Amino acid sequence: MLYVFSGFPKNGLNASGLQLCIETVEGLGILEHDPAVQYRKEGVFAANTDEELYPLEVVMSPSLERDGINWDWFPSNHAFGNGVTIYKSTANPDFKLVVHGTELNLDEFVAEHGATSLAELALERMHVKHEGWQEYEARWLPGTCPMEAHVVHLTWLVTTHKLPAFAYERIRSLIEDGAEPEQSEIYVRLDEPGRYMSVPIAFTGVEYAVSQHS
Amino acid sequence: MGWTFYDSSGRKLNTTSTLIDNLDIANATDIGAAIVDEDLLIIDDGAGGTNRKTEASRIKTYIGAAIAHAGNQSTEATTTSTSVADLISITSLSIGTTLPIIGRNLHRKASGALNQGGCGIKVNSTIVGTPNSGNQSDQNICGGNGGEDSVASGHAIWELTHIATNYDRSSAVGLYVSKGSGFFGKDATAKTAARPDATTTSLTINGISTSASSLIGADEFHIYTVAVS
Repeated sequence: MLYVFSGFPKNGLNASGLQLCIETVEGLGILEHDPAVQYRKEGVFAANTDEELYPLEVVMSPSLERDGINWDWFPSNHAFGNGVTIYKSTANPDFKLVVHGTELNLDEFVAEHGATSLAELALERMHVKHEGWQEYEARWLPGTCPMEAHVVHLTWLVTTHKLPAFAYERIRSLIEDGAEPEQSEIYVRLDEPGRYMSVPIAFTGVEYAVSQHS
Repeated sequence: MGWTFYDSSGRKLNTTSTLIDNLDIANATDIGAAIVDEDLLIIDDGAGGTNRKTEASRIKTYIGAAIAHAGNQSTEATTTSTSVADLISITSLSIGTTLPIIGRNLHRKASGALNQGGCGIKVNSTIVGTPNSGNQSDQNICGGNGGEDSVASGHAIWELTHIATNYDRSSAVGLYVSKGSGFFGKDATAKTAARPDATTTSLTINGISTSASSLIGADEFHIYTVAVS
């Protein structure tokens, strides 16, 4: 079974920490670790092949729908693997400063219209909805795609069997509500802080550079 | 004894209805702080004329809480998967085939039984480099052999070349720097498949570990395009 949750664990657990919590500390479920098993958007396959092993069963957290994310949000050939994964995806709309009523920037406008008084012009910021943006926006439920630079975090896990309701709710709470794990001191390793925990970092939304649209 | 209210312009305010343009917002005291969930706003419920209060937190729900869930914070991508799993994607791109793409990323392994792992690269839905746990794998953009209970990290810089007639584009070639036990100690030569001959709309780093008792992490994935003649 594939379980997909919204966000990353706010209690700081990383994939290894969450796995330790689920399998060992709190005994909430058994995760799939068979290297021959790979969950993908299109089904459950023998790793790195197109041999389908068995039908895909997925549980999407209700929080995801509220965010605008359903199964269609995942692109074709998206790989979930097995075990636990904390995934993130970034998007950054391209904006262009254009002369009001046109799709031309100042340079292009002057090239086309000749010398123009700035007092006669009004400028506006236009969202360039190029092929990549249209494709991305179409993955979201209608009207929910954020129109600014953003990052989407998802946490998913693959179990060998269906989780009982109490276990599902506890795992959901650990991830989406940041609930404190039992025996939280276990996850703090002074000799290796990144063993079970990850450090949250600020996201400014402008830290990667791709703009090839005039 | 009744009360009569006047606005700052001396206009008498009606006790049953008050026009919104009677509110003098410009001269009000600024909140002087960031808006928090508990702040109250006025809202006309369903535009039916029934005004209600609402907490600012409801706006986050209305516009979609994917971002709010993260509290405007981010974290590294991590996995314990022993088969290939996607880790970080940069989406909403529109990079033509004539432009080379340069990428960089951080990667690490934690201690545990894991001694091998790797990260690959996917362009749109095509896996250009299959993350492979083999020590000498030439499918990774980073990866290799470490050792049980070793901690290692590094960063990779690689290029997906543009589509040029008669020139090979079958690999993402690059280099990386590693720290700790030789993990991720091999040149980046992902060459599972060629870069697709189509507009690049997304790039994804994927990863794999040889033992579920440990994890592979990746972060700080940035891409750049460069001009060609």
